[in-house]
Amino acid sequence: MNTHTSQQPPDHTNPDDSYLWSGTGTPDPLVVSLEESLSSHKLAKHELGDAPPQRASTWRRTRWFIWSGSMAAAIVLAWITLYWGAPRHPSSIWTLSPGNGVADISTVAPSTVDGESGRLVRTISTAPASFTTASIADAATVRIEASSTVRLFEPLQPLDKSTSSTAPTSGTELELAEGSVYIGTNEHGPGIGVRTPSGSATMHIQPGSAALIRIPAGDASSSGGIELKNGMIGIALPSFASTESRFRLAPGMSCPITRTSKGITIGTPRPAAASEMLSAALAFFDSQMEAPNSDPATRRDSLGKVLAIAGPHEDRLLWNLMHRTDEAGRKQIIGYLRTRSKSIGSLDDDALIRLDPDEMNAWWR
Amino acid sequence: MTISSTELQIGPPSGDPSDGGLVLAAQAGDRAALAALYRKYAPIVHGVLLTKLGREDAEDLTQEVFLKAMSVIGDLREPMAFGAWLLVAARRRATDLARSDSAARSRAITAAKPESQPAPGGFDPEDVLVAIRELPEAYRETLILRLVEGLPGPVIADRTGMTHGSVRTNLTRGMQLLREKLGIETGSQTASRSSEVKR
Repeated sequence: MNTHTSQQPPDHTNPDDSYLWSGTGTPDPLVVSLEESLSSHKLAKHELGDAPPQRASTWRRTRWFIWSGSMAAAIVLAWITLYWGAPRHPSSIWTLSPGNGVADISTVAPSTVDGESGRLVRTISTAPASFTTASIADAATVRIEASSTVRLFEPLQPLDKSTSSTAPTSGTELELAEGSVYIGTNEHGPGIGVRTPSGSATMHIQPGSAALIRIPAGDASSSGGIELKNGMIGIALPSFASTESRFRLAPGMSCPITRTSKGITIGTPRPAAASEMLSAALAFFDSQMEAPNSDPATRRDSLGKVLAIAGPHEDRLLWNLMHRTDEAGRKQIIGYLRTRSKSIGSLDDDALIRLDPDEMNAWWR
Repeated sequence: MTISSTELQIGPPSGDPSDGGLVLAAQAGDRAALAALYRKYAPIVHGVLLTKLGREDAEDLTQEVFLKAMSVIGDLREPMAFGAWLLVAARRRATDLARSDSAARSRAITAAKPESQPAPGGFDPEDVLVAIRELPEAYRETLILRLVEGLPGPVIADRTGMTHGSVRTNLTRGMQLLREKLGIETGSQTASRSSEVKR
């Protein structure tokens, strides 16, 4: 539906069209009359019911039953043959569904036990013109884009415990070797652990959003960062461990993606095992930092609550907070640390407040 | 590249970001996500159908058209473009249905006329719809979404992927043309002029 080109330019400043435009302002009597007159034609059924009734003829229905019966019998026979003939592999709770190109599903390697973690893992490679969706109910949905290689780890204990002496790690996890994936997580789920050659993170993505994890082709050491693609947040993972980037997610850190008055944004990275109280305080802090007209006193209070709950020894959290607050907030953080911790030792307070890269990197190390 | 904190404060340029997760979930077969998308987009599909089909057909076929589109949702490469993609699918389906059974459809539209009762606003809804259907397509769809489905302009823009400016232009210019077709010269002459509706 494109704008119809007209000889007459639109009168956007006309106050009379505000009701027609948004239903606000002084009601236009004609528009109101038309709305009332046409109300009987409005869609009545807003809920998705069962599939619409079949309109096929009796013969078509009969033919359909014969065909579907034959197909079902063939599938059952094929399944029995494959089941008894194929080598045994542990089952997976990841559900896979093909995107463009069913054949690419066949490139999924059977589940094996990862020697390092002792967990079940499957490797999936997608072709250049296809994608695959992998999901775990109540946890996460991952769309593996074209030309990508991903290892999907099971969030379960190893089926064969004798194969590994390593304690299994809980949680859903994937490892992206090349390409890109879109990830969505369940609101109340455990989040998803993401690993790449250059870093790892636990991600909790709010419902209705999706995160893009991407490894740039070519030079893996090239700088990465936050990127926006079609309205979704993407995180280029090489920046996770980069000393040049202010946005880092170290192992054991979690990073929520939140929606604020300015749109979707990245919340303050925090320990993956952060308490509910700390998460709530950080959520309030993030909302204050993102709000265009937030009150400075409220901002200071929100930071003070985070500091009080986190304590002076959450260095990685405090380091990240420095980048998300203003100069007054940074002074507040440094002052708090000076009286309670030795973590910033001989570092120069003024340089830290200026976010001097050398001093900040020294603190990080 | 050093990323400053201000660079992190980014927001989507257009479209509804909440569609991304819903579409991903729907592509994975999540029925709840499918239902949520239906609740959100059914009025859009219904409005598009109403530009070419009669009232009862549009109501009956909305779900069918939506489910048909959903059966190929795996082909949608950009989840954020869901609204625009669905709109194209609905428009194509409406055109096919209208063309394949045009005689019966027009009979259905015509047959509804004598049975239609005077509506609360004073206009015969079928007469208004006939007048709207004679407008260019862009105006036709936008006006029906606004006047029949009751969607405000910003919502129409978000769900169809159009810019706010385009929707506002379509509404303003479409309304001018509709006034002319209904024989109304100014906004103050409203329901009392319904007896002068042009056929």
